[in-house]
Amino acid sequence: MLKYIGKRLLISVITLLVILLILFLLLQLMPGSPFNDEKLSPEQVAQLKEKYGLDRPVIEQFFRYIVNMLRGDLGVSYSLSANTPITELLVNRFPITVQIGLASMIVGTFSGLVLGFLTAFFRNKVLNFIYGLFTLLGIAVPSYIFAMFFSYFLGYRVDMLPLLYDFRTPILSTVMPIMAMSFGVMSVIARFAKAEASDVMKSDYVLFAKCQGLPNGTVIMKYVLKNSLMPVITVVASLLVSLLTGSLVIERMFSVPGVGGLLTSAIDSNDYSVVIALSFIYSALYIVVMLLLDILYCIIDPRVRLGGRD
Amino acid sequence: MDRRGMKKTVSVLLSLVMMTGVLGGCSSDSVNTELNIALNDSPSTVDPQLTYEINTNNVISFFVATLYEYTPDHELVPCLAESSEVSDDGLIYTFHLKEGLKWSDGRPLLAEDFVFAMQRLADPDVGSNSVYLITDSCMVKNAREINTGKMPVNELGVRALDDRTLIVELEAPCPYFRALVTLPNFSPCCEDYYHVVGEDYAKRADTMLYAGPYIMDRYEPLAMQIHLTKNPYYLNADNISIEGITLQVINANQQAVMCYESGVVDITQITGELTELTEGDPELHVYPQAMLSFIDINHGTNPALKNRNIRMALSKSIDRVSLVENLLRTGYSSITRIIPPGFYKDPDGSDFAGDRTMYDEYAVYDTDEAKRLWELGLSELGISSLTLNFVYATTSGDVAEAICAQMEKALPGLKIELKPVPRKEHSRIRMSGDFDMIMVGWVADYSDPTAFLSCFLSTDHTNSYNDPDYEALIERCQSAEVANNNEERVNLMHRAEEMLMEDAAVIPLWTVGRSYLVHEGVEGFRLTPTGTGFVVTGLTKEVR
Amino acid sequence: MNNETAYIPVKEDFVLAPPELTRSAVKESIGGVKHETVRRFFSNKSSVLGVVIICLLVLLAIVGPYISGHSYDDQDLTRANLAPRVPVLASAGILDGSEAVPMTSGYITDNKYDELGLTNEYYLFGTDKLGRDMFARCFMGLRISLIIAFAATAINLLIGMNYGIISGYFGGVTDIIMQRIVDIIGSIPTLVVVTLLMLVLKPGMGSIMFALMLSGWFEMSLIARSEVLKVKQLEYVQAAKTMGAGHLHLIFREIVPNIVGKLVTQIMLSIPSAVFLEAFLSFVGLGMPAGTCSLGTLLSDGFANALLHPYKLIPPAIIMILLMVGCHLVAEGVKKATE
Repeated sequence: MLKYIGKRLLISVITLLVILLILFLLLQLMPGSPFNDEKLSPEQVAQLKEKYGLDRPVIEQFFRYIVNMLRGDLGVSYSLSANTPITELLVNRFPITVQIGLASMIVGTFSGLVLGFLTAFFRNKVLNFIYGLFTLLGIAVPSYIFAMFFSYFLGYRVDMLPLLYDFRTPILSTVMPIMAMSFGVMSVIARFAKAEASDVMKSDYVLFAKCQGLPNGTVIMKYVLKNSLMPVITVVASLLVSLLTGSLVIERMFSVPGVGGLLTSAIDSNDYSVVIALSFIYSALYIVVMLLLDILYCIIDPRVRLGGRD
Repeated sequence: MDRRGMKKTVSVLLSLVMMTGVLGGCSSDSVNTELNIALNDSPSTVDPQLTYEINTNNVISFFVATLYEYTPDHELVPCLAESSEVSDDGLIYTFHLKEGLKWSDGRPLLAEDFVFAMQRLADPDVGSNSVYLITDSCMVKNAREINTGKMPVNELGVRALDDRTLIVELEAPCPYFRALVTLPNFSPCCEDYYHVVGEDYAKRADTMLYAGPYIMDRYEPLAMQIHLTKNPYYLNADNISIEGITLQVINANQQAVMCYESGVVDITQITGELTELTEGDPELHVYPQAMLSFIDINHGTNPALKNRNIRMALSKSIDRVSLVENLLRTGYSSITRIIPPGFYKDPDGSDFAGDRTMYDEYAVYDTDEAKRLWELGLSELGISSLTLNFVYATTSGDVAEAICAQMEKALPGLKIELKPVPRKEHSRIRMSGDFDMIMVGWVADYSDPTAFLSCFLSTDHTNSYNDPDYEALIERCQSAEVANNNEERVNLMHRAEEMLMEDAAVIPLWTVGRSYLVHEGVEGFRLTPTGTGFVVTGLTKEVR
Repeated sequence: MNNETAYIPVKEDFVLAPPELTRSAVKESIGGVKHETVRRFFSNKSSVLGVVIICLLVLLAIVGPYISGHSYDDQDLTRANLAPRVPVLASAGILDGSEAVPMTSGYITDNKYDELGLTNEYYLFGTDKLGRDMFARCFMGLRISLIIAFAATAINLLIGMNYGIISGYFGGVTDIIMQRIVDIIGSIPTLVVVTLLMLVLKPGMGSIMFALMLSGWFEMSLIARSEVLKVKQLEYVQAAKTMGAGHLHLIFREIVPNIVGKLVTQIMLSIPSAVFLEAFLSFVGLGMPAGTCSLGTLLSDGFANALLHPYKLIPPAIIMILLMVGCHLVAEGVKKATE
């Protein structure tokens, strides 16, 4: 097992480096410089470039960047926020984004599991209809459309939930963003949970357990739930990405001071260093989560531990 | 349906919150003198010397004070200065400060604080994006050399004669210097304090000193919520009636309207299509801006655009009135000259640009004339069709599409390639001259026609108008002989504007006013036309 | 007892069947499987619904821009922001071109058709702010979005399928190297790749396709590979291998037909996600340039002003939702039918 984890770890580190390189090379191709304000003369621009080391050879800039990264220095924002270290920008934003993302993940996963399992266990028309409707909606409707409906009806017409993020009411004011973002998660988890549970219900060992005269509830709790929960873990990782994507538009909509909104603003104002840093943070976060899930999976499932996951 | 001030019904939610086990904190009760103002964007900085954007200036205007300021009626009056005089050659300005000026921590505000502020503005190590104000808009002695690193900062031509006398030496006369110093970039900065906080200066609410009506007590870089409270040491503190102000950044326009309607914010700007929602609302206020939207033409590399008939045909093929009425709506008004009306007075007291139809023959919408000029131009060039590119910032996509359709419809053989670019990229393209036509929105930094006229000088950008006669004219406008002869100077500026129009050197489109919704009961909210920000000293809110 | 001796077959009784015969027999049996899958697919009501929805949308994407009588890019500023008006319903008072605008000072109901004297004009979905017909624009947008999605998916399929098959079929060092590459590429979030690419490239159809392709092919390759690994072990493939079939024969005759089901499912899932991503890019301001229309630009335009003119958001939103639903139903159906 250690060997497997070691291998995964190595791949993750290489991936991270490759990402850094790709990010860096892509950014070299980007048009313009962050200082091209109409009112600056060429000399003044050259001076600013020198100050931020943008006039050095690409290789040197790259190594400088990696070294800085290892020291936890993500660079400086040039145009979005004048001369502010990006780390400083992230300190307060990152927790909020993670909090909203995790909450959406938990709410979505939990409600998805409930919906999926219930539909699988009790083959009942009403449940089936609700399941069908919710899963289709979750897949077909982008989270920002949900966000708009919620904010228009719940926030504006009914005046029940705050329309904006407010640091004074951090729980209440994130309810709507979380609702909007968890819908997609819920539908994917529900579909997966239902399919897994139905498979397990049909399996020989469950049939055997039933034949042994075990009560239905015990069978479900002991065998079905346990065995169908495991594969669900694999979907969670892929959902994380969709949450990140969703957070970009949603955070901007609800004025959440998070990382997603920061990235959209950085794209808007050509602030390369911020785009680099955030892309890296997003990738790193994603890689870490994937790694953790793989390790978790490896601990749970001996087949992976022994033979790799093919 | 009036939903303003509706009580929050939280019953359903309460149970939800209980489930999660945590209740959000309660807001304070002193709401009566608290004001909530929505902003479109987070300020990029709160360091007054670094700011270069209107959004940022709007925020900074709450807590800075400058030598001169504009009243709500756009009169230039002394603020921190008591009086000032200028030498006969127009090169030396002497400002006398008011007595008893104090920073927000109670320490005295001295003339040397202005010296340090202007040194920071010129200092290449500080790297202000607004350095052009001190090197180009007005040429403070040695500023250029200091900024290019050829001289130390203490060589700057600004010095404190004593605690209350500030002397500024210029390299060339600048008749609008007093108007220029209303910009927050010229506001004072305390050197001792600056060295104490060092790197952290203006990065947090408590690493700054304030001289204006308010001080910040909640701020972080790119904050979405900023909170301000009254500055007890402000020189007119007694007249400030609003105790606290929350600035809430709302990026989504629609959300801002909903927040305003539900009473979450008292004041919000309305932009884009949504302005239509507010038409006829008594709470809608439009603040005129010294702004010109125009299409800049490449006079350098495209031979077809060197033809006056072609340029004028392009200008005359745009139905500005229809665009303003049907698409841009509230706040916009079409213009067929360079200087927007309402911001600068001739010596006889009349509006410099009072006559809006003065140059109509060169630019007003007339498809027949446009077509005639177009065909004339094409035959002079010996071509039958012409393809031009049209660069614009992505934010003005609809307008650009509409203009393009009008031009193509009126001028047979014209093909326009639309090139939408991000805002920042847009500025770079204009600087580099890599365009045939480019849509530009320009806000004057100071109330003087040269703020617009200098956009077409060769020093402004590559492939600009760059006509020797025009250059000479503007140079003469800025020269010492004319600086103190207002009449001749105004005549020269009129001549310069006429020249631009006559030659169809630029295609003016419209001027803009910014639309704000201001709740009933909130009075005294103003926006200055020159982008120095809000006028906040007169704000009051009716206590209900 | 019966003294008839049982017939003992002799060698001559057996002849190899002529090659034509074997071929047709094999074909019949494969054809049978195919037929069975198709039958199972169409016996499922929701799959049929999915197919109908997709066919309808594709048809509308082809003819939609021409049937309303207005061109999708003809501007007329005087006719800006007209509400939907439908011929028959209008006389009944529904969708007659009037709209209630929730002005900040109170609702205003007006009918711009009447104001402009356009008594015989009908814009089924209304017009946009430049006075262009929304009906034609919606289906033009659908067309563009579908072209982007189809093209991106086709390229993904081509690259991903080949990559996965080669990796899975040959195994060994080839597989290890190829899989490590996929591991690395797969660990970069799509969002990051697409965002950065769109910043670097000129906005337009080609760039969006390229970005979608770069971020999508490896998923296809993973599916192809895992299916190949499964199929490779099956008896008939092993048999074909022992009989000395060549690589190409094995891959394209034995393996590919067996993984078609999974690939079709994946295609049906990646088309909507491509449309989704295109729409998302428009939202962050990295999508199609102005002047062109796609579902993404229409959605984000409608979205930004939904409070003012909700009719500009509803049609493109419904079209997109239908497309999603249709694709998912078909994907589900194919999955069930091939299992």
